[in-house]
Amino acid sequence: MPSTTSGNSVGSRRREWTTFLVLTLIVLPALAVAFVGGYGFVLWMSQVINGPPTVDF
Amino acid sequence: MSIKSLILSFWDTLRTPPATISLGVISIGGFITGIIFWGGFNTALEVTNTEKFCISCHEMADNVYLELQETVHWSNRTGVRATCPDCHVPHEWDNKIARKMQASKEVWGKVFGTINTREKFLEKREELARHEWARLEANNSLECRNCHDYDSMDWDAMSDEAVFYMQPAAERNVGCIECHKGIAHHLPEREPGTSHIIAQLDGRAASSLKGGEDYFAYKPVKIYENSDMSTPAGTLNLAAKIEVTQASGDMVEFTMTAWRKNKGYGRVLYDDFGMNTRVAVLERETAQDEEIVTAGTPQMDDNTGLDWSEVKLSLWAPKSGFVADPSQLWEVAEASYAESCSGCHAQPDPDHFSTNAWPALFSGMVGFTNMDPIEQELVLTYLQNHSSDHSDAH
Repeated sequence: MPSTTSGNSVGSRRREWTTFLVLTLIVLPALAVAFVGGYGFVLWMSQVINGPPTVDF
Repeated sequence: MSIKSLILSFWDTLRTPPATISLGVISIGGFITGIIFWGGFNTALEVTNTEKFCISCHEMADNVYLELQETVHWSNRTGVRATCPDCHVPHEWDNKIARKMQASKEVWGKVFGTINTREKFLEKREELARHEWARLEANNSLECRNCHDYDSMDWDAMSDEAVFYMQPAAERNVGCIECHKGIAHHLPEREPGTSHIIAQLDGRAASSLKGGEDYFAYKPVKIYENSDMSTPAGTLNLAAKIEVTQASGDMVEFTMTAWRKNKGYGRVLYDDFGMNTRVAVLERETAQDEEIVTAGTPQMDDNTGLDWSEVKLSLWAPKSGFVADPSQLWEVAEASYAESCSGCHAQPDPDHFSTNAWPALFSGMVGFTNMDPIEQELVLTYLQNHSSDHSDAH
């Protein structure tokens, strides 16, 4: 950790809040959407190869 | 500050216990943003699953949406109606997500104007329809069955005709789409020249026609009295057998042996004595020209009291449109017959009926299928050529 800011509590507070907000509002939602989208994409590609999903009644 | 050091400082802060934010604020903040995200995600899924969203593209609003409005799925006595996603988006979560990803293709099509005019849409309609049919055939019409259920059908409330077709389908648990293609949007229209059957047969066409060999028409072939195509002589039907005598450029001279009824102008030629399997229709002048058409001694058909004569004719045809082996035709016809007719009932063996019985039976049923005119003619010709008259079994 850079020693120039570690003792500065105002800078540290600012940094922690920025990190918290970037993580919860941008990074994690983007990751969640990417995971779900990636899952959907993999399913789609498997349907292209194996044909549309089948259901038995 | 470079991007790398920015990310490093972000990472350093992440892996260090917070000094200025309380654990309560972090937990509650994470919890609340989680709830908001989850709600937002589902709202986005739902918004993109509404008809309003679907018809926000004119491609949908001006084509399929208008067609839906003519159908029972739009307006009916119960007041229940189907919206786009009811039928076209899987309701089960995984497949729904896969479909949403698939929609990226639709966004691509929107951006690049793949079907931005009615003409482009009509051209693509068959391809698009086949995707949906394949999906519904694979999942046994799941999206239809989200509302419709064989077990809930009240046979007494149905017309006799409806029961006649629906009950056997219910017994065999046939998927709805097998019989009900085109129930919510127009069926693809096919020009005779764009038939997918012809496209299959084009690949099997004889590449060169040799003198002395027999060939069989796989599509309607225009024939002429001379090699320069100046005098039309008529049209060969599917499976018409010709014997090539000589080739000249893109044309061949051929002879043909057939039968005609000695009634009227004798324009229609048949495969064999007393058999209503059409092989050619001649122009009136050609049919009357004794230099082209030579007729044998008339024989009376006891069933109809009509006189039939064997005729031999010599005419010209273009080189394209023939196969060397009729089994090429029958393979394609057999597959088409099985596919189109087995959806609603077990299709009878071709040799279950006679050559002359097939045309009436076939025309009574073909309206339930999506066969184009060429396909209809091919399948009927196949049935007539494999009827009880051509079989030892009956």
